[in-house]
Amino acid sequence: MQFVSQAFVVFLPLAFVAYWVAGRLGGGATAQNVVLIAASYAFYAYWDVRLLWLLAAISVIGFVSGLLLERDSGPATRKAVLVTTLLLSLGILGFFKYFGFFLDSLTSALQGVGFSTPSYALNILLPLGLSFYTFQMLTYPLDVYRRQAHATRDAIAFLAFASFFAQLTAGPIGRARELLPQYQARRLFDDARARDGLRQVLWGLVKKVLVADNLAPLVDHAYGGYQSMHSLDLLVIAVFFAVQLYADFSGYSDMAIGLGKLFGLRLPTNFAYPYFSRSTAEFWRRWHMSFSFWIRDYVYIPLGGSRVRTPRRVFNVLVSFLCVGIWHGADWTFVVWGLLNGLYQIPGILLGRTTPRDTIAHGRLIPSLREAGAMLGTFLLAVLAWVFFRADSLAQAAGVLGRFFTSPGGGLETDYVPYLALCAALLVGEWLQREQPYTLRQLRRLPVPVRWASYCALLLTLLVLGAHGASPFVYVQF
Amino acid sequence: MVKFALRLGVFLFVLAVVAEVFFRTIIPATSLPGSYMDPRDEIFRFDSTWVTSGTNTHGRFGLRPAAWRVNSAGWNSQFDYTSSQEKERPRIALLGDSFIEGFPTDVDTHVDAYLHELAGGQADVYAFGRSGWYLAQYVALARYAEQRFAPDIYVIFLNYQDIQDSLRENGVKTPYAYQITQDGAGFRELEPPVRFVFTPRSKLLRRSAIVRYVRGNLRLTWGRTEAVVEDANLRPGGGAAEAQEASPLLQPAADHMIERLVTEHPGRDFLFVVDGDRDAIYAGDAVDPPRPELDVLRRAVQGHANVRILDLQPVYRAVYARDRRRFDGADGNHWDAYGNRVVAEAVFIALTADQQLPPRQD
Repeated sequence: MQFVSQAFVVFLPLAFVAYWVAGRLGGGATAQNVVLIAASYAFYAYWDVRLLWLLAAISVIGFVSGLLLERDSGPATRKAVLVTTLLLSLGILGFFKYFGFFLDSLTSALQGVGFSTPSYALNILLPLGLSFYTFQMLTYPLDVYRRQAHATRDAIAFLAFASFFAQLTAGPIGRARELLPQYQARRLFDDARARDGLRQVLWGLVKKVLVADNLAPLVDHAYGGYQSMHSLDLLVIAVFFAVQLYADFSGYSDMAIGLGKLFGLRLPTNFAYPYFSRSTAEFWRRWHMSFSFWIRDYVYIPLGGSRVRTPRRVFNVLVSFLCVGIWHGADWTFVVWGLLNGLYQIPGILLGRTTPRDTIAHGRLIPSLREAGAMLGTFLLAVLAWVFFRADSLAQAAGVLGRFFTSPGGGLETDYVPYLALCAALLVGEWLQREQPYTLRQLRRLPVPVRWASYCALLLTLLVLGAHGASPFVYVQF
Repeated sequence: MVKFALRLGVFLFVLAVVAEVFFRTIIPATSLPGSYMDPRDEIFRFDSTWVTSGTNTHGRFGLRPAAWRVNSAGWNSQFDYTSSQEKERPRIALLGDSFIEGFPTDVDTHVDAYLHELAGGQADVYAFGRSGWYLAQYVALARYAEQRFAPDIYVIFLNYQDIQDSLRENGVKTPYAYQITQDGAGFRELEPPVRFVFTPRSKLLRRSAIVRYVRGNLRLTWGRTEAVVEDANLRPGGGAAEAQEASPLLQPAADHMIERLVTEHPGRDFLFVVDGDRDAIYAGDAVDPPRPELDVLRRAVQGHANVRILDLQPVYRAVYARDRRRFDGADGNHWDAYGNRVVAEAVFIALTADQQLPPRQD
């Protein structure tokens, strides 16, 4: 089930009412969790009931491993439990997501050096959100192993944590130590928080339906026929994809976080205006934060992180970004995209630059020339890398990039102008509210008539200008 | 939570009111008549007891408004039809699909209106058109027209794959249209598979501009088949000729349907008007693309003195060479007012040339 679907319009109110009524009828946290599990499994089964067992299996693996790790056993046993858990979970993920890719690559490589091997065409169905819920579940045994969290004996709460429908298919990837306690206590309805959640859902909807889905056909069409396009048009298309991907994924995240608020849950922030970053390091502190922090905490830091000599640090960064790339999918384009982002970090490491923690142009409307230059440069580097992310193959990415630099001439396609205005409107709106968790948040301060008029205007704009029934969320495929 | 629900309810009510006003004034939602399958004759047509006039608009911005009017017989026409007993002058029946239904243009700029005008009042022109119809449906429709209105001439408009679509062997193409199927050595007529009813619920929903906008302008449905499929013929390209492998059943099916028409309506004249490939003409193609169904039709009408064919391709070609003006509207397929006029003139010339209509005195 997609958030932007008719089925979800029916599903959400039913789940919402059942959840809060269950909480009120004396069942407390357990009753709320049972409703949440039922709703989440129904949500998942609506997409494909055949793979529901996988969600249950990953959850059970996580829960049991937590109990085993909590036992007062020796370090070797604990390590064995953790390794087994990782092998099982990542093995399932690897089989569904990467097995076909590795087999294809191996076959191609063998054929390339002259071996005669049959080509196996594996048609493995990729379970929706597998990477997301596997990674979220893994935070639990990893944190218990590190003694940063306690194992829970509340299986119902754990199942609810591992399957909450709002974050099931595309995150944000929460940490067990932050989320699990929320499921273990009865959630109380908070009127202001629920309204804030609805507002954030609305903003996510605007980004998805109005921006991302309107840009998607242009990008798809252009990538299908880039051979006949000129540099300027291709550059504009690359920018469109950057905005499309951001609007799509951050729109999903806003909706997920907003839905979490409706159910009294605090989900982690996933985006913090990444295109207003002054360096690629800052970009990765603001883009898909729940995932990049996961990689930082469970890959980069265990490798030694920053507290090592520079060559080793560079190696750690490259390995981490390689993981980022591979996590996205079984394709060489993602591998190159990940490594390219890793390479972007190296000048900063060599020059000893620190990543700024504050918001750009903090307290000011206009950035300084230096800030604007750094922001533009970072944006263009991201745009360049997204070409690999979007391309269907390395050859296509190389073709697009080649035409960037070798096909001048031809003016800007006039059809693109309204879409450029759409991108500009989104970015300007977000710039003005970049100190807020999400762009519409400040509407809460306006008088009711103005606020409601704004909501009406946004919803009518969505209806009239939105691309309805268009593409699913991009990150759902990961 | 109750306070939250109440507040949300009030907001949704306000939103609904604002949206209703918005889609009635700023962006006018399309309005289309209701349809049902008349159980008396099993013909799908408009409900003349409900809303009988309105404006059809297109797309998300509610553009290209076109007025429609449902007459007392349940057809989109500016004329009211009288029964066969009240016949005062020769009658021409136009049978067709969405081109004759005519929602893309104002009702007074349809082929029937122009033909009536060209005939100078010497003949009544009755149009019977619904989107997505094809030849097998016209056989059944002619029976209905004969029984109710007794026309003297049947002008039947064909385009795309109207013979192929008539065969159930190729699947159900339009759920409210008759088809034929091979039955032993011959063919058998099949009634429309869906009996559409214009329910009170549909009537109520269609009062809402929001519903009409969402369904009619945005074309979003709640996963159910809509009774009104006014653009079922709208296919990309607007070309009439889709070169295809001719099915072996095509010729016998066409022979059967023409035979049925002729034998069921002795003494009547038939003129088949076959749409051309307008895109080929606009593109400047000197050679006409192949049109297998036209060839099949030509063979089927051989030996029937009262059945003729008017191929619009040479008409389009000649008029386009003269005026350099397209015949279709913004949807790139259906005729605009000018296209309707051109076709009406061509039909009028064909009918007067065959002396089925007397030439105009002026």
